[in-house]
Amino acid sequence: MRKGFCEVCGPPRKAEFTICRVTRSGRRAERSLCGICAKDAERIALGDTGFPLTDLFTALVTERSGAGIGQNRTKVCPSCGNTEKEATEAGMVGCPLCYSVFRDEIAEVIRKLHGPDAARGLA
Amino acid sequence: MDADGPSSEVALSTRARLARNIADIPFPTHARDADLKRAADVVLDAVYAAGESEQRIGALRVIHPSRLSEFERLALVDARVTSRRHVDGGRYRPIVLNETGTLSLMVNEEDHLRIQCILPGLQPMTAVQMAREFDSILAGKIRYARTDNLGYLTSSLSNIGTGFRLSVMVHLGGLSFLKEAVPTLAAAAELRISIRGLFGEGTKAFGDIFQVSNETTIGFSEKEIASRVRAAAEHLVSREKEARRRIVSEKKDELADAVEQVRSRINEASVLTARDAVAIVSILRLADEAGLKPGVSPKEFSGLLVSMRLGNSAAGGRATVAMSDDVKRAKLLREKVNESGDALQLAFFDGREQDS
Repeated sequence: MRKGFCEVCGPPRKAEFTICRVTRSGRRAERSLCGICAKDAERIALGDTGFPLTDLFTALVTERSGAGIGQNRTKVCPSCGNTEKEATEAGMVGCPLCYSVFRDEIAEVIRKLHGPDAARGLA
Repeated sequence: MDADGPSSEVALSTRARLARNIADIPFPTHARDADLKRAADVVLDAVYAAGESEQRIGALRVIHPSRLSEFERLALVDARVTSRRHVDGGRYRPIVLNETGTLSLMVNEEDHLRIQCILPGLQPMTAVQMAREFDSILAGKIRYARTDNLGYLTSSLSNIGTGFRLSVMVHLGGLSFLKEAVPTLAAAAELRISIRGLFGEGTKAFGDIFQVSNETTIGFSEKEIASRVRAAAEHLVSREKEARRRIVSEKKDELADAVEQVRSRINEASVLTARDAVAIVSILRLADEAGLKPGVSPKEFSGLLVSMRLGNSAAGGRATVAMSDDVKRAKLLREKVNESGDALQLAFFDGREQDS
């Protein structure tokens, strides 16, 4: 496997995405894939219904940009395609799963929007 | 919707809104057509089932904006039954209305369900109760997206938790005339209440119409939120009434001058912008309170505001005035001030004339 290229189909396609799976037991597995393979992986994760089995795992698709692996990562919700940027800057989420995918970031936005009393709802 | 209601001389209307989403469907802002269709089917199935078994909310009717004319769509937006974005959104975005048009449901606007109750005057608790009643009926048939910690999950994080927004529209013409509106609003804003001009951006309101609503939707119960908005609205209503009394007793001549200026302006102007027209109507409303002629009654005021702003109105489901430009706006006001013609049959669209 050549570094910087897709782990599934290899060169010439570069690894543009990191697919990160977190199981309920907390184990984390990452794979670096090209856009096409990342999309396939996402589809497998989501199943035929197009909606993820949230009870089993949370799938995170992390886009990679810039030169170094792991730099400038942006979380993307595998269910609706919403980005971390949209959730934090615009305060918009795309589906119920976003609330799990962006949990920490969303909690911060809620505190900013609704003030300290929102803690009662975030407890 | 009739303009009569408690404190309707100052409070134009009260709206209670609940945002809800279906548990396993992406929110409308990120949904594909198939998702929108599925959401609309789920909601309408619940509505039809509710209509058959529930007497509490009365008969419901379903309207599909995509099948309406542009004028009919505008009339619904004017009546705040729906939003411009919603009616322009395309297929699978129906509206559900009760017989009187006070209770409505937008399907697939920013959230799958936007339940709202709009009542004339200041009626926060009744509006909340009616919206919640409709919500509880639908909740028995739809699995909502919610968690124990966060409450109802919404498309915008500004609605998370209760999904509840209570807003009251107030006309602070008297306070503005006395140049006391800004300090009064600042005091009310300390209650974590959002106050913004209904027309125009931010604090640059025109027509002296302000919307008072809750800033937060999480961390408090709907009842707590409603009490706070009600307190702020009641405070503004009482300050405005007091300001109007002072104008009548101490500054009636100044008001008469303002009315005379407005009258000249209307008679001379061939065109009027929405901003100018709403400002003029605001003065005429004060004149009515002070017993000066020409005046605008609370009921006429509601209708005129809609017309001046969007240039459209509907009476009995038919167009009586269709103003799409500044020229027609000037003409309508001239007719009103000179009390000529029957053109001023303005009313809120009540939804009953529309065919689904």
